[in-house]
Amino acid sequence: MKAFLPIRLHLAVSPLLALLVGYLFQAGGEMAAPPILTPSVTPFWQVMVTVYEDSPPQIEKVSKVEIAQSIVIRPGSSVIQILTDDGQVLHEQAFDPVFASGDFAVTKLIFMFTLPDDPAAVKIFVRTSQGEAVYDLVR
Amino acid sequence: MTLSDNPALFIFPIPAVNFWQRIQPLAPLEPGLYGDFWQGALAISGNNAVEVATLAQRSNLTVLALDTGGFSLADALALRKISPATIQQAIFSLPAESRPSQVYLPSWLDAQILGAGSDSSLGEIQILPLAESHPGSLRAENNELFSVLKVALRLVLVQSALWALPLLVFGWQSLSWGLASLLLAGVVSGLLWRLLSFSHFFRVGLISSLLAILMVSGLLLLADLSTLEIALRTLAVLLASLWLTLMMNGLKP
Repeated sequence: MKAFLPIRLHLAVSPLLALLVGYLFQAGGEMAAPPILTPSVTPFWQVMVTVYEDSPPQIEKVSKVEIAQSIVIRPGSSVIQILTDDGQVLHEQAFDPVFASGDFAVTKLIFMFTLPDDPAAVKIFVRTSQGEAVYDLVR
Repeated sequence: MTLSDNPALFIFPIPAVNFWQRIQPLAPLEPGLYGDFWQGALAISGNNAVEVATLAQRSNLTVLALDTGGFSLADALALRKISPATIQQAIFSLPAESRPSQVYLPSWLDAQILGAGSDSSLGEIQILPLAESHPGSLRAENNELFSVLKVALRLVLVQSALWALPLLVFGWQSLSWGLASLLLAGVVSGLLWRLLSFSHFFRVGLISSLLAILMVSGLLLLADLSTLEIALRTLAVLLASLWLTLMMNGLKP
């Protein structure tokens, strides 16, 4: 078994290899302790609306939530909107209240909407075939 | 280089030894004869500068430095880099008219294994023990494992000194991980070196792979790290281990 590495080469390579090893440990360490990231959560407005067959809707409850639950609602002629101070629509969702008739007649329906918040949003507006309702957002 | 390549029987001057060579197990010289002049008697050593210088100065003999990769004779025998047969072969490689009448061997080396006293081996060459002057004379003869471990740890010490500053460039964490890797590689190499009777490069690969597997298993079990981070750290340990185990093959001057 013969030695193959000259001592001068060893002395030159050794610190370079140490730099590489040091870099690998540092790179590994940086990945081990990532900076704490604040999750970018967009808050939502959760809105409970009662829709009547023969009278204007009522906005029953509005609360701010951080997790949105996605509910598929059949689109229709009624609409819920989130508006700016000057009436610009930031977001809107159409829905279709269907009132059952006959033995199981239904005269009012309760809908739960989740609308994305926006710093410019000031009011929630609901319009059905029977009328309108407005709610001023409190921050 | 064999001595028969050198018909003029060139004798190198006794080497000067510095502090750096003294503290580490590897201090390679050209293999050959060292001393002031040819005296017809030889002391045997490895091609280690410290061993050659000490032996030549203390014994006033001509020293035959065998190619041990820069290790002392005791370390080279413990590492199985040379065998008694290699020593015998080196003595016979001397030109016939320049064969020594006496060969001094360290007292811990059993002269019988060179064939001293028998008819067929060294013939008329007298084998004599050299106890006091030989740097390896205090070697624990029957504890080869301890000798190899000691060599490995001395290599770790030297490499740590060379690596400390470059590692520190990347912070204290890199420094501690790097030095710990070297130490781990040294201990594992020291313990396994004599057990693995393979060719050198296979042994280097095997020990380094074993360390890499240990590292991966340890990180997977004990640390909550990403795959990439485990891979980077394992690669770093593998490199440190490969380098240290390559050192155990010795160096050329």
